[in-house]
Amino acid sequence: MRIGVRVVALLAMVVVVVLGATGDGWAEQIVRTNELPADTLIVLQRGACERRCAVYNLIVFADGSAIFDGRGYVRRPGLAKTKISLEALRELLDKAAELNFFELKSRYDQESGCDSANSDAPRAIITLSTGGKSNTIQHHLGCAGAESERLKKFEERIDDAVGSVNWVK
Amino acid sequence: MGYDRAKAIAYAEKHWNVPCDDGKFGLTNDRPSVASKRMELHAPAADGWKPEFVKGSGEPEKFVFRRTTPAGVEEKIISNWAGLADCAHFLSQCLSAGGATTNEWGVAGLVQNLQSRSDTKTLCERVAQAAAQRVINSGVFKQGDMIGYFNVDPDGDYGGRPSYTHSTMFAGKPTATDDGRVTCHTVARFPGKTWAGVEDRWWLHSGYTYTLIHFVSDDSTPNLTRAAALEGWWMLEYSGRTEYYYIFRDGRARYTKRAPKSAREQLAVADGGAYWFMDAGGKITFVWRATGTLEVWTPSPPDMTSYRSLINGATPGVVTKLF
Repeated sequence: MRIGVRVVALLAMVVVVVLGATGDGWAEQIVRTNELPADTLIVLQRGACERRCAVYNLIVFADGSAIFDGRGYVRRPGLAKTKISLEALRELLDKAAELNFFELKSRYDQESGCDSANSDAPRAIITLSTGGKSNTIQHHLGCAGAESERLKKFEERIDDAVGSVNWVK
Repeated sequence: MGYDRAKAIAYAEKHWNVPCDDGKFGLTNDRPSVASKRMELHAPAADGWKPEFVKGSGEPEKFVFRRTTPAGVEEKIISNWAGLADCAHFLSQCLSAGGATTNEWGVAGLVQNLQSRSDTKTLCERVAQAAAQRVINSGVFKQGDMIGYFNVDPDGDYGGRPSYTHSTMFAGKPTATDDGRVTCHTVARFPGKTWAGVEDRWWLHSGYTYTLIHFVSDDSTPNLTRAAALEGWWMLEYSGRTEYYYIFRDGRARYTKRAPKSAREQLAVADGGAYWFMDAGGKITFVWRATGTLEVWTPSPPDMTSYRSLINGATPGVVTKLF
């Protein structure tokens, strides 16, 4: 079962990469059909910390299908498949737009983008691609600052939308 | 032979980032030997491979075999962060090196073991950071004593489970105004050597309550005459409240809100318990276990058997011996 899910995930990622590589043509089609851009992909990777934070990855695809990949200190390690509504996904994209996600820095950590940083906090890596745009941000969760706080809330919204708590706790 | 703090600290300094000399290390679900990992990972000592806890990339720590060759540093991973759990084992080995033989692998077991020893006193149990800091600042808690970390954060250690999740050995204060530092494994710490970016002040993080366990063998012996004079019922009045203490000459104290009727009345049900410590000048420090409340009684001349009380460094009280 796990292998099956992994295969699905890999295939989906390949599809997304291919779609991303085709560029503007797909973006135009999205506008015509008024659907979410087919290259839409959200990846949230939550890293380790001394306090045994849950370590997992979340992947949300353009059709709302999502994968939880529990790596450590989670109630359910391994892969799990789920689905979120397109409305929920659209809301996440709207939030990303409010955040100016694609204009944010690529790092918010001790070396860049923080007023100060709590050393033990975990790291989150968040990637968002949609409509031909993409940005990946490394975010140290102990990072103090307004942008970091907004980013943290956005990451939590992704968790809430996917329902990570079902596998984490 | 009492507990030798200096030996315990010396052991910690030597082993702070390498496995203990029993050749084992703790994982959450196993206690493998370094030797077995050498075999499994083909990392013989003869080829220069040394086991070491090192700062991880994107994780707090990892346990590896490392060797340096002309080509650079080579590494074989024994365990990534997930799964490492060597704090209680490390602390057991440190305490054993100091003469307090212990062999615990889990934090809860270590706390229980130490609390049951006749040469320890639990100064405070699962108290907030500020209360524990008061106790540490009192000087009663010393280098080589043990700290247990009880998770109270629903988003904290191991999915927020309310339990003991970490243990360290107090390593003292580098300066009088410092909070105090600790040494431990998982993550590896020793004051002055701890990796950059890793907190080694004793409280480590928010989200814990703290249990401070003190070894007593090198505590100063109180003046026997004064200790004998202390024994019995006392009344404390402070901030409009009245409490009654029964003080034992062996260093224990109990309190109740019910007034005793006679000297022979036993304290059936106490509202709290403390240990008291007397210095050479006759000053007495009470540490109340459940709250970490620190109370200091200063003797008043001329007879030095009446006292003024100060609670948590701020609230004065009047103390009267009843019988």
